[in-house]
Amino acid sequence: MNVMTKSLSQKSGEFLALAFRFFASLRLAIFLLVSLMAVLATGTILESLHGTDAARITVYESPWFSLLLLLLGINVAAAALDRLPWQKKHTGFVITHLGIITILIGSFLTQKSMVDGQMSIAEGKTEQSITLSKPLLYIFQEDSHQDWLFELKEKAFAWNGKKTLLRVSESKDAKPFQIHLRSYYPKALMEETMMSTQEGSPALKVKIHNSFVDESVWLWRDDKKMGETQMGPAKVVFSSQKLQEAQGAESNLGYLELELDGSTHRIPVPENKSFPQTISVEGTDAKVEILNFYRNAAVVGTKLVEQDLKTKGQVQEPVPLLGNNPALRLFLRAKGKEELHTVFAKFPDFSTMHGMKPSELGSHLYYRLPGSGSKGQSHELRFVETPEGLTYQVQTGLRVETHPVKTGEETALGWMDLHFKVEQFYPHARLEKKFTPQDSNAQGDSILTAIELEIEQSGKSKLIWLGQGIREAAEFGDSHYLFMFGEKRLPAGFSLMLRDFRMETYPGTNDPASFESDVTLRDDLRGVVKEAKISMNEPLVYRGYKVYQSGYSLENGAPEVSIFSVGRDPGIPLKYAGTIIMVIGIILMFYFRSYSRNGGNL
Amino acid sequence: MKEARGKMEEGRFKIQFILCFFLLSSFFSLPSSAHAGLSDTIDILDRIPIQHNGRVKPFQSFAQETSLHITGRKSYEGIPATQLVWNWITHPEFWNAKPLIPVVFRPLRKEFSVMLVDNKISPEMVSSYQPFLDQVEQAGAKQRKKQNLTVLEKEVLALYSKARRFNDIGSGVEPGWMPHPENSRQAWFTFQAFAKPEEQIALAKSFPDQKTDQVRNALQNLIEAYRANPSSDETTQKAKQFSQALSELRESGKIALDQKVLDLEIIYDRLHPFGWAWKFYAAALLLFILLGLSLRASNKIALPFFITGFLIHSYGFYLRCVVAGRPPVTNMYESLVWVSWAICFFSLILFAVYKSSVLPAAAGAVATLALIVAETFPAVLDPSVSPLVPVLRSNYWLTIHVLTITLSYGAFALAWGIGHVVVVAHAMNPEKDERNQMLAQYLYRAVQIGVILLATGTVLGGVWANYSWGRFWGWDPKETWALIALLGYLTVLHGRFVGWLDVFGLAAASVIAFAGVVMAWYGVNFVLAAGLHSYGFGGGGAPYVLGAVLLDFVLIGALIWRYRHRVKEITGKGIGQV
Repeated sequence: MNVMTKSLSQKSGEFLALAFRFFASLRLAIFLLVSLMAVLATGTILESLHGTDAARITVYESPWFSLLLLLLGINVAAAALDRLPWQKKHTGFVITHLGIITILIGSFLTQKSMVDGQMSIAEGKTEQSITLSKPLLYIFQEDSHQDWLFELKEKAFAWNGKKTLLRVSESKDAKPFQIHLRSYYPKALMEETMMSTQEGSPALKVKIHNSFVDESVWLWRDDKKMGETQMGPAKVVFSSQKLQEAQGAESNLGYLELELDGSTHRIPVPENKSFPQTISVEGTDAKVEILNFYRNAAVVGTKLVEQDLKTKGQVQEPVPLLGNNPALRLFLRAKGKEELHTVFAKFPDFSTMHGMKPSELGSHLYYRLPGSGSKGQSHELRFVETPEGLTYQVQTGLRVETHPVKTGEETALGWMDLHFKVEQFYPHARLEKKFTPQDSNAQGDSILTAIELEIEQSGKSKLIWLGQGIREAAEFGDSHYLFMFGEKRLPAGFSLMLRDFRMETYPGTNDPASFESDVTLRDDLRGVVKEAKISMNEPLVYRGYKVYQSGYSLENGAPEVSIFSVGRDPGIPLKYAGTIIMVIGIILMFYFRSYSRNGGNL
Repeated sequence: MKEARGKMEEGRFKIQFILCFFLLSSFFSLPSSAHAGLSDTIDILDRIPIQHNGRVKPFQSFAQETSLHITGRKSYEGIPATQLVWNWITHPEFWNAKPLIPVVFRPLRKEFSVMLVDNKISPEMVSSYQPFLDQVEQAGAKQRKKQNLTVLEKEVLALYSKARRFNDIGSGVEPGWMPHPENSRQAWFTFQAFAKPEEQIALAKSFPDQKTDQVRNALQNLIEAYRANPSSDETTQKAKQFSQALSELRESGKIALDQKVLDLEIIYDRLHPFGWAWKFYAAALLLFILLGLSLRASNKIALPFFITGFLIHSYGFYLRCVVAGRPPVTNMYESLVWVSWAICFFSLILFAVYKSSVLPAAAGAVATLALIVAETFPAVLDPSVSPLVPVLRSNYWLTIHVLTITLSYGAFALAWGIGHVVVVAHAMNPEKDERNQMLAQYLYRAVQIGVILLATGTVLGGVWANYSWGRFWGWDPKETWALIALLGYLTVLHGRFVGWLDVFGLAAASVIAFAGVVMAWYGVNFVLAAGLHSYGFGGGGAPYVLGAVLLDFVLIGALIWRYRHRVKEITGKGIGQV
């Protein structure tokens, strides 16, 4: 018995020694170095062909890559321990290896607990969570009021198959059902087609062209985004509301445009009359009392006054009817309420009520100048479905013309040589999305990540496509579902408010030279309020998080959006320390080890 | 006695030096212009400051960049750039029909087939051939949607942009001639300011009418005179008046330009310092070889050439730093110049320690090669000073990181050069062990310097990345390949420790390992073209570089074969026992 144990321990000792020899060997080191080089080279080629994510998922974040680094770490450590007790000549060598091990431990720490996400904030808005690029699926079943949240595993390439995500057994509210993941396309092209159906809002396809513009677009009534569009100089609308005819004759002073209760009224500003003057708004109980009319308004102190219209040069010119800043001051009275508005023709974006208050009546007022002199004013082509059939209305200034639409027939609009043609009209329509897989490095406006789910209930099943960030409702059997395929969000523990975003360009070009954001950081839990400027290479640091300026998005009409990358990397101190140790080690090693003809031995 | 001899030697050294210099400078001197009047006019026009591509520069630089962009060369049929561009300004209709733009991409050549003259096409053809314009339209639409473009689409857009550029110059849309008095960062007024109503108003607001009229009249006079005869004294006079009118206009707006920098840029443009540097290096190399690498003789004759080349090289680099306002190591051209400087710098340091002519000779060869490549392909390796993308601007860590990494490339390139010498020396005379070991020692040192710098530089890259992107290491292709290159040299060093590589093997392996540096330096930007370092990306030359690397491998393979053969001959055994 004793003999056996002894021999066993002897054997295991021998085995351990052998294993240690193996792990400490230079041959293994060379093998690992060469493998690492080959793997990394493959990774970069993969990245070049299929994009960063493909390389990240298949190589750098894969378990076997971690294993390779682990082996390297063991090898480096064993090689150092193998030379115990260390002599003076080993100094550089040991320090270098210690540095490498420290770096590897740092990387391990990074991999385990790093946060690397984004915050996109529009000017004036506040954001408190970090968006990580980890796909997340949210499912809500309305009937049973149950919801589920899944973290999906990222895939490098388009995937088709069947993976069950959810299996719900019989309950008193709902029947049992299952949900499977059928496809995962890291990059898919989303194409939307309008389909004729039995129910839903009507849709029409209109083509507008002249020598500059030639566009075809689908308009879908009752849809916020697809209900109206801007085509060249013309606003094209498909609405259930008819344009109101203007009240009264055209005026050289322009007209007041009043949006009230979903309809638009145009009231000419009376000429050659003294103010104040009260005008009733046709078709409503509302009244407008114009208090003052300014040809050229100026703010003096806190009061609005009429500024003299100066004529340039010494020659006597007739004083123009309107100056640089025409304005109206008026009372709007409706539903027993009274509001005071000041409306500037050239500044339609200004709040018309004092103190940025929103209108209680829900009104919007614009002062439109004759001709095309006022900003934000446009011609309009409007389609309205009436009992008599589809009609179109053309609005030019105050004039509104109404005609029936003849599908497929070209019609002149009467301005800028524009013609339109209704190419298709569906009384009821639905928007169908189609996703086709693209290469993993595809880019473009309608390219996004998409998944396909299968809902299975009582032997029947239904397929449904989800594009990232698009909410999707589905009805199946007797149940209603809500799906959202998004990205994982992490509460940051603080909030950021973007006060201002600025971009500086190179002299005389549109190329950005630098960009920066003014933000206010709030941490209510700790009572911290901090104002900071974040610019390229100058991050904001707060409680281990670093907030970097990483990008921006500027779109016409939309507020400026600043994009920050937000990260936390607890491995950094170890990595820094490790690299310093390693470099010192290399220098020492080379300093002490001059060239030796037989390669030297360690 | 000793002192006197020292002085005498010094004197002789000086005379030799000066002699050589004159001999060479007459050899390489620039062709002098035939017309004194024309060259005077060009000189005046050269010096006018303009604004273009985000920078204020002398017209000369603009003309050279523009000529390079459109015609692919800094001169066209012997006409220097400034004259060429003024020809375009004064005779746009004539030059519009001239085949100015080279079409390199084969599918495009096919498309234009009969319209090409010597594989060049006129701007007029490019901007009027409808099938091509349709392609431009499609590619442009794709670009606006931020979709990936095919090579053909990129080439289509590039060709179109050249024709557009020509039209812009003909119609005065670029460059900017008159700065805004309130905001010098704003786009300067172009000649369009004399034609477009809204710009006329802005110009009138900025300057007194009298000054702008003066510029307009001077320009009209200059164009008339130039059209009549560019070489006449009258044209020179008018050019002077135009330049004067512009400078008075700037004075009236109290706009001060940094004249010193502008003057230095003129010197930089005209001196072609890097062209001179490689000629000196090449001459030094030739002399080193002719003198048989004997230390005494080469010290006296070849080394002065090498050092002169190095000084010109350094001066040129200094000029470029001043002109660009930053260390010029942000594109391929600049890094080639800097790396070849580093090669010579390290060779001089090692020379100071080991006193061997092999070092400057090897450095001279590699630096000459690098600078010839840099100067010969301006269409691929753009030599113009261009603005930086935001992430690269004014960053201390970036500068340190890039300089360190590229210095390491220099050390490795030197090791590559010495490696060849070692391999050849072994293959020719394997029995001369003493000398071969000496040579290998230089190689070993160069590799050591490279490893220290590359390791440090890569780490500094991490520091910078953490500083400006928020992560230390992100497996970006550029940093990954820097790591692969480092691992390659580490493998070589470990192979030496383990005894798998002898001296010859070490040399051959470090020549092969340089392929990793080529990949990290060139391949990532020009072949892989992916990742965050995309600001340095360009295209072109990949098959040639690949060919050169493979050829080098074949050469090394042949030398290895020869070496083994020779060793067998000598020992009758194998190489293991040598």
